[in-house]
Amino acid sequence: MRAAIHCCHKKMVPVTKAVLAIAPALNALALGLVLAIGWPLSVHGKTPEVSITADRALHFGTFMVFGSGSRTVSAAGAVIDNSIVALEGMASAPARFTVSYDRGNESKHVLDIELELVISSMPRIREGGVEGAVANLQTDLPGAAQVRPGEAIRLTLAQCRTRVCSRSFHVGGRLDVTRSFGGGVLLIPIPIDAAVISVERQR
Amino acid sequence: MRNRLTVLAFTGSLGAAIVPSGLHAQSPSSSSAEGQAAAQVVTNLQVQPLADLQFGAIVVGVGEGGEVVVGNAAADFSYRGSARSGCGQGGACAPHPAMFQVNGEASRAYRITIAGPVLARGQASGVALEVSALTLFSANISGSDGLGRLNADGADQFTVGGTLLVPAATTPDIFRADLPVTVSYE
Repeated sequence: MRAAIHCCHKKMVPVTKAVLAIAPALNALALGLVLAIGWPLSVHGKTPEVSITADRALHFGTFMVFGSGSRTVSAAGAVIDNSIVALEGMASAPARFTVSYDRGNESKHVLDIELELVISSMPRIREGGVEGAVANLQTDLPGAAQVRPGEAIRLTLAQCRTRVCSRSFHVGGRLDVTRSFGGGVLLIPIPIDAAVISVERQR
Repeated sequence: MRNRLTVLAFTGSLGAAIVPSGLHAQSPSSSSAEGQAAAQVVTNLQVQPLADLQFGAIVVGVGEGGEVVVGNAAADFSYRGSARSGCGQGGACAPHPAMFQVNGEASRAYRITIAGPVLARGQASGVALEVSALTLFSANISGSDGLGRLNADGADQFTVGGTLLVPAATTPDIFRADLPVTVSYE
């Protein structure tokens, strides 16, 4: 048994030694290959990431209402009132969001990034004797003029040539309000999510 | 054993480096934000009459008419021409301005509008005489240009005075004016 082991060990040693001798060179070759292709390495850049920010609120302005009424602010900022008396004060304006994609490195490859946006449902808010809810969402994104809460919106950041590419867009909607007594300031959250669907590199 | 492990580690790293991953890569990242919708709903404006525009008991001469001028303060009134008070001393028929209470959104300005013409009627005779030179006075801003301002509690009061031209030989009577007042936020 001991002779057999001695025999095989002797045969294996030359092969192992040869591999070990050329291992550093092969490692260097592998590293060079990766750098030449420009493959992203975590040791040379950050993880790619998407981000979305709320730049401006959806402002419905200042007004008086008798009983119930509504005000629509479009994604372009047009205002339509129903049983609402407009007053001086807060100006009306659509919300603005900005979605960005950071590739995590300084490569100059042209990328097409496909994103998915989702605006979640918004709660009905009561402030003293005033109650309001937002409905009929509108955006100025292509193919998403009217959107429902929970509906996926596809957005492409085409021909991205810089490390960070961004796109801003506007969101409008209709505020349905009921006043029983007094007045108040209604603040209704608009939750929005952005996710990366795909990143394609152009040849 | 150590040499075998070294070989395996090297092979693994080389294999990972040169395995092609295609021309596109999945980046499974997501982000969330919370925007906001905002609206300021203002308390409705309400106006309540507290006192009528009262020209009081008036007597004029047969051959000459007169005027009764009511200012914006309680005892601010005067007679011109042949017009004089028909009230006894201490009578409750003395002239006084109209007074209104306004309530609404705190610190907001409002405008007072009176649709014309304004007529004062004799309580006994029913004779209608036109009221001219209406004056408005807001307590909060001490102004008389038809503008008022609600205080920190959302309240204000304003008065309305005017001039009543009484023709000669008008039957003595107590004259009181109806005022169609509208208030609106400025």
